Amino acid sequence: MSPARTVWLFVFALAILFVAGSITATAQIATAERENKASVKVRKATPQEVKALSDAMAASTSEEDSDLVIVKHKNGMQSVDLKGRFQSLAVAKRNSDGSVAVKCVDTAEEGSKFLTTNERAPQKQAKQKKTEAEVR
Amino acid sequence: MKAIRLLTIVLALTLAFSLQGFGAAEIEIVNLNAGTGIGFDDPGDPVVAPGNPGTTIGEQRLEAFKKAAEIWGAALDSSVKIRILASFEPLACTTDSAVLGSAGPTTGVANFPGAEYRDTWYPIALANKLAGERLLPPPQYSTNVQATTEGEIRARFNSRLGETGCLDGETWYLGLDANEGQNQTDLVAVLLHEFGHGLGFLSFINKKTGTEFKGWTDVYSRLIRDNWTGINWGNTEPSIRRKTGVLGNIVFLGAEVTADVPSVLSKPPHLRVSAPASVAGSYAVGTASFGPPITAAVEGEVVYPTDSTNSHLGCAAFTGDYTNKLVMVDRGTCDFVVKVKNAQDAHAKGVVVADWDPANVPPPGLGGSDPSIVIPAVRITFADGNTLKAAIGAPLIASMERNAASPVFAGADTQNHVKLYAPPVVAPGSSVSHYDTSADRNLLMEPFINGDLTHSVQSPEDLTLELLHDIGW
Repeated sequence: MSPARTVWLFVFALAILFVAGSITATAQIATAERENKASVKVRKATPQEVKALSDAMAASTSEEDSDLVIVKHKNGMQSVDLKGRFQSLAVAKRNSDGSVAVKCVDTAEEGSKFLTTNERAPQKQAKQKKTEAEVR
Repeated sequence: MKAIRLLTIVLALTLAFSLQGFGAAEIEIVNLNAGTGIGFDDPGDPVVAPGNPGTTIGEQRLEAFKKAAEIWGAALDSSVKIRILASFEPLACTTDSAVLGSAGPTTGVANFPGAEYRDTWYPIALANKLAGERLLPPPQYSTNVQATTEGEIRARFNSRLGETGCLDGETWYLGLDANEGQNQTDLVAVLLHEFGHGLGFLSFINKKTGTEFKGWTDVYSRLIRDNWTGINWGNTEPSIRRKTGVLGNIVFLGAEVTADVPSVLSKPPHLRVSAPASVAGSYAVGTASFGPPITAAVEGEVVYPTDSTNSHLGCAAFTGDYTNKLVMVDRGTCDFVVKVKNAQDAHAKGVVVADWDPANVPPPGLGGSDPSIVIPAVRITFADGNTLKAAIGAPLIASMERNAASPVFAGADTQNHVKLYAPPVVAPGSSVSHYDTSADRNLLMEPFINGDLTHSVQSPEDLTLELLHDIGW
């Protein structure tokens, strides 16, 4: 067997191994996706769970500024360390039809309301899977 | 000759570097998970993520952050590096809900060299840009929760998404191509949105009390106006801000956003009836979350047939053939997608759903999902339904189309000022730091992060960069 032919055979074998590996990986991913979909159940959060979520949202979205300190600089500038407050928070919930809605909120109250009610966004054009509207 | 050639090369190189520097900002992702084995440092196997070069799940998360930073960096212009203190960490979840993540500025600054307005708060990244230098050298910098080094924006995202007990079945989409699947949330899109807040798309005014932060307004709120009273939020009392902030008629006055509205937003859709003359005119519609968007006119005779159960509900198959017809059905009993699919199977070119609830004015949209639906559908009010049913057979000719005669674009007022989100349903605690959900097309900075966002932050796909320009970027 010529050296060139040996190299070609080696490359061919590698290619087969690579394709086989990709197919196996793809099959595993597809199975995982099916399992994910099969496991989806819609359940409203319990009051305790809502409180835990609300507490988690409260710290970062807090707009309490009474204990934040203004630092006065020599050039007349003032600065305030926000200490992790005034953050905007993305929260997600499963809708009644199984789709997921994502909303950005600025207060814990707004976040809790979104998570515990059938809050809707107006329907618009194009794919809208992230919002919820009446389906019937 | 040689000297001229050399000079030409030098000039070309200089120009190239100048262009590279123009209209760009360097944004650094400061990895707060480094060395922890979690978050960005998680050595777990990578997931399918088109365009993402990460070789571990942690690296893929970091690459998504870098992608969002790269998009903002290419759009903004600043000579001062912006540092985002970033972490991926366990955040709160239930089986059907989750905190996805958060972001915001680390520091507010006022009366700095280069500030356009006195006694006005700016987010630190914007203040640095306007000053042309880093205004706060360490150690005066932020001492934020979990921040181990200084930065202008803090971002924390949830590493639990995808685990059992955390919005089960939903995962982060770590691809960089805005092409997430049905059970995935596009991380880059969420990051672009939240980074937008960190860059300055936010009001520091307390949403519950209407009071200004530390007694001064902020650069974003200076450009908010209440259209009912004509009062600018930068020059009014807390009680008025609190009231107008939850009544849903506030707009953003920025010149660049306003100028680009016609390039980005659409005229609202409607049902235009051309015959018979007795009912001809424009009828308000709610559009569907399924099927094709209404772009070009879809015109035909409106019919009101019964299905195989002799009902106008359309919940069972139609027995007739309605090729080139617009089929009207009554709302109720079954999902909207069932009705529309039945009409589609009977060869209808569009569906008009007549509401049964007289209180639904203007008509809400039609929710649901069915990828097999390829015809448009709209909802009309109960009253309009009755009006049009009386004219069926005349014949009744109608067209689903954009209302070119509308004086406003969807999501803006008559002066093309874009509406801000201030719903009456959330009081107190409403938000003014988003565009209103009536905007059409979907905008990055609406509160609902929609699945059709393109990763563009500027006109003609979006209006976020324009707003940042208006506040000083």
